[in-house]
Amino acid sequence: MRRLFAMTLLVIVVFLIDLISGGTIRALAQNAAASIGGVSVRVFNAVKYSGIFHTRATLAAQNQALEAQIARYEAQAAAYKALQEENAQLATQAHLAQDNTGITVPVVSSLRSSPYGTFLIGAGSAEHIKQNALVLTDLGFVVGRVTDVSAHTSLVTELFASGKTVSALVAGANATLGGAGGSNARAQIPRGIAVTAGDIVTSGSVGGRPIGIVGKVESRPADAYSTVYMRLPQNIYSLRFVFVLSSTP
Amino acid sequence: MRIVIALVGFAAIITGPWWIPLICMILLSARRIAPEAVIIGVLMDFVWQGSAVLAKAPFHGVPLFTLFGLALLWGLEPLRRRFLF
Repeated sequence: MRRLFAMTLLVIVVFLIDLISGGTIRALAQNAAASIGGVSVRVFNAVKYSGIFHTRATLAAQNQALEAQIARYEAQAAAYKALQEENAQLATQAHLAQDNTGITVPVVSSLRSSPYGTFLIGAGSAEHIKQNALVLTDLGFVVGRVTDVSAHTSLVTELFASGKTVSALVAGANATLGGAGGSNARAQIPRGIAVTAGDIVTSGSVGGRPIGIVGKVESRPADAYSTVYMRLPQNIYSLRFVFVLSSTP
Repeated sequence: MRIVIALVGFAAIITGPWWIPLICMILLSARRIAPEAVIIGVLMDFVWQGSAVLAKAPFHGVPLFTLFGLALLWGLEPLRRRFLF
């Protein structure tokens, strides 16, 4: 029983030290995790492309490649649509033009590892990463915000981490999206509003940038609201690099 | 066996899906008082839960894995005493 008390007390002390020191222990843990994560990602890729599992995985790889190709085309179409909408907005609201300076950084952890909808990137305060900065995919969709910054590592929290809510604009209608993890979310919008799969979803909380596309709309005649499912047009788990903005809206 | 499970748990904090450390914590705590299970829980929270998250979103700020580790530590003690000692 004494051991149980001692361990519980130790845990409390460690958390208190971390809190008082402004997250020093967290930063150390995250730096170590980023180093190990970066190495393991490289080792995994080396094994994957070495040909060891080629014969077993040929069909699976081909299937995956075709799926990735479809996803790429879909992402390009969505990005084109997003650019069109953005262009129209910029033409009418030139004063809202925003600074797009930032830095491309590698993702150094698996997005499946975190139970809190977070992931680590290989850049920190030394690379001018700021807390609360927006994190974008290569196609310009916002995936999250930087929540913790240490010297060469930062922790990014997904915009649609499970349980989080985001105010968004879906087909011109205001909606509150409930995050479901993996950059998926859903919202209830009045049934009269015309929403179709592929529509761009934007959010004022991230400077009016696109945060995803409508994947599916469920509507029943008896209901006053339609359920809109939103997703990123690209697979968040396959992201190797992300773009971190310098400015924080 | 205990060392292997602990090593798998520690490695999975960074490289595996989140449920592997969880299973390792349960397996480690089932038979004995296992400090490593609590350490895995603390590390999971320190690595993946941002301190800013703690301040801004109360629910996401709850260190779930640490609490689960402590719950295993205390909660399984009566069972361990009843069946294993």
